[in-house]
Amino acid sequence: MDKAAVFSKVQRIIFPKPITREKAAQLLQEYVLSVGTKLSYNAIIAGHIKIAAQEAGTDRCLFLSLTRLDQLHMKSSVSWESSAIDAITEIEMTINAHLFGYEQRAVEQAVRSSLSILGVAPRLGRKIAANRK
Amino acid sequence: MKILLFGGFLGSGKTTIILQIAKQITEVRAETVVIIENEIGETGVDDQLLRGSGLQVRPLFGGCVCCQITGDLILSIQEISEALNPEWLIVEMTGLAIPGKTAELIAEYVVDRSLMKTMTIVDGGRWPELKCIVEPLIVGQIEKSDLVIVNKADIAGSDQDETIADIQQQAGSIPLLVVAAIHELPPAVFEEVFRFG
Repeated sequence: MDKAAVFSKVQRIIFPKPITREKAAQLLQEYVLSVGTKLSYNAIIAGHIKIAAQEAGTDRCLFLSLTRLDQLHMKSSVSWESSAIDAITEIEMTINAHLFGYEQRAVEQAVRSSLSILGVAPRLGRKIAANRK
Repeated sequence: MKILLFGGFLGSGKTTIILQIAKQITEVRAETVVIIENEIGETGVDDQLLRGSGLQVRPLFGGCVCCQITGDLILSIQEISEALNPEWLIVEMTGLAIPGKTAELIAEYVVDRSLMKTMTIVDGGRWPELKCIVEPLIVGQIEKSDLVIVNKADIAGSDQDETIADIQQQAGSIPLLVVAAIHELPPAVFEEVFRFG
């Protein structure tokens, strides 16, 4: 059995112009699916890819989890759904990708190269952890 | 303080099930609960989700409690017991942990084994593929558990019966419950999780 690649990273995303929560959710879904597609095995993830996206300066948060390409789970904080303000300019995105079958560098590359979907230059932000168990 | 240890492979649905168990404790049983959230990486996602639901969460990041930061887990349990003394403590282990091994370590240092229950969540939808890749890990997680919950059984599709039979074989005499990837757990799961002795 291979060791698991363990990748954790916090990335600040600043959108060029304010976007709606619906649009932000759509972009984040596209991003997770893009990362997952590059790291899948028979259309499943041999581990998980999880994201918490928090609107900067608020407690409004969106959570995404991917374990298979045909099922992306998304949950949101109550405040995300109930907020009257619908113009997001910046989010702090925590991404955890823990999976088997891929080298650490491949995971980093998948995370990085998909950032363009969110309008971010494809370079790493603040990498929290990159180790292997 | 009774301890519920939740294990199971990455993405098997531990946090979703824990969220419902914790709400059952606080909203239906009107009892207190603290959650220890263990992440192998240095930052977490699930702790944010649980905390966002109004639950009290103690993060333990940067290693696995069953083999890397066991001492931190022992200390955290002692501190929570002394400072907060909740009626329930839930420990969400990493997807790489072996619940039975963790329970043995806790029993050796802090809490009697009879006050602990280990639950392993198995992802029924990915079982065949994961068995090809990480069989020793996912089988090891089932062994020595007190309860096995097969989650996302409906995603197993036409192979569902075969998958559940295989998991049942691995579980042997360990009680096994099968649930679908739905939003609400059936009452039988709550009854079994809270059954001690």
